[in-house]
Amino acid sequence: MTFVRGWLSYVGRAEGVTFRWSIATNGFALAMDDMSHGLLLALTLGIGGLGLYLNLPWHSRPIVRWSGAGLIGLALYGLARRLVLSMGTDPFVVTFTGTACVVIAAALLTVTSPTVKHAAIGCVLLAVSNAVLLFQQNAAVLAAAAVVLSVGAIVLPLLLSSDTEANAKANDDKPSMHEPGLACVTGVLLAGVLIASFNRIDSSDLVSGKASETVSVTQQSGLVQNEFEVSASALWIVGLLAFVSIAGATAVSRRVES
Amino acid sequence: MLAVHDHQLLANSLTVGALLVSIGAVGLASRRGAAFALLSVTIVLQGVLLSLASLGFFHGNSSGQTVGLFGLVVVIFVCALALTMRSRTSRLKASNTDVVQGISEPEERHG
Repeated sequence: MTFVRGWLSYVGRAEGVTFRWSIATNGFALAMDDMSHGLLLALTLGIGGLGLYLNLPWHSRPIVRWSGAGLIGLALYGLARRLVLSMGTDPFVVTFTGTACVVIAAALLTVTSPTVKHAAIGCVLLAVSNAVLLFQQNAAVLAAAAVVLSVGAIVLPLLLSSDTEANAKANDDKPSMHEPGLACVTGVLLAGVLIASFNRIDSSDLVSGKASETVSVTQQSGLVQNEFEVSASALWIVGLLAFVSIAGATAVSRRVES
Repeated sequence: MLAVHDHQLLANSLTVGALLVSIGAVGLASRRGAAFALLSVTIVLQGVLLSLASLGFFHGNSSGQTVGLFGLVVVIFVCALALTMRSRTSRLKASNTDVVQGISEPEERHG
């Protein structure tokens, strides 16, 4: 699909001029580059999803959980390498990459930890490290509000309520109450759809060719308007897909339960 | 001037946000305890906040932060309400259990 899109884009660019074989071969090379980029990302997501499945708490054997942790580490290494390769190695990028890895690891810790106490610690770590990412993007107010409200309104009351641990354990111990494999497959598919939708701008840049490092000021307003329209439509589609995925996974899990 | 570096930062921030949303969705679908569901909603919320902040940073205005703050307050309010109702329900269950035990104990003694 990516190859066809890139090839058609180059054919479209060749309208009005004599068609040259070099245009098609150049388009093919760029499209293959784009496709291999997507395949690598899909492989990273698949390895991460498998690691998440193996690390869920009802796999009681330590070797299985350590294997899952190793796969998650491998996927995080692949993601960090991708971030550094695409953005360079200046201190801003290194800080961003390291913090992003901590954010994802904390989110995985929250989801996979067997006790509520450890999950709450992971959630606090997630809020603080995500605040660093928000602070890097000039959103200091949002970062402070997110940390204070998430920790103060959710994590602390959760830890202070005495019956939380027993209830969570009772719910998780029922084997028919969850469908972890389906949830992980849904999560990997959802991540792929979200990333593909969000990076649509990036891949269109790749197909059209990055001739220069900067875009002129005259093109900036049109580019931003176009990007806003693309992002808005992508957000609508992604929101709908996310709703359908979560509702479908929940419905199938409830069917298993009944 | 709009650098390609900003494009990459936007794409990578959105990638991290998408991963957070997906991990939260996995948590919602696979863990059934109410505590884990609330924590998973928090993970989804953090991913959405990161995506909105990066979009606002890229466009050079504070609309992303504004939408993020509004959504943050609404989601936190709903989560806190759910947590309060849950703790009240569990207290009621506990008091009902005590009442039932109080009724059944004399019968056992009588029998």
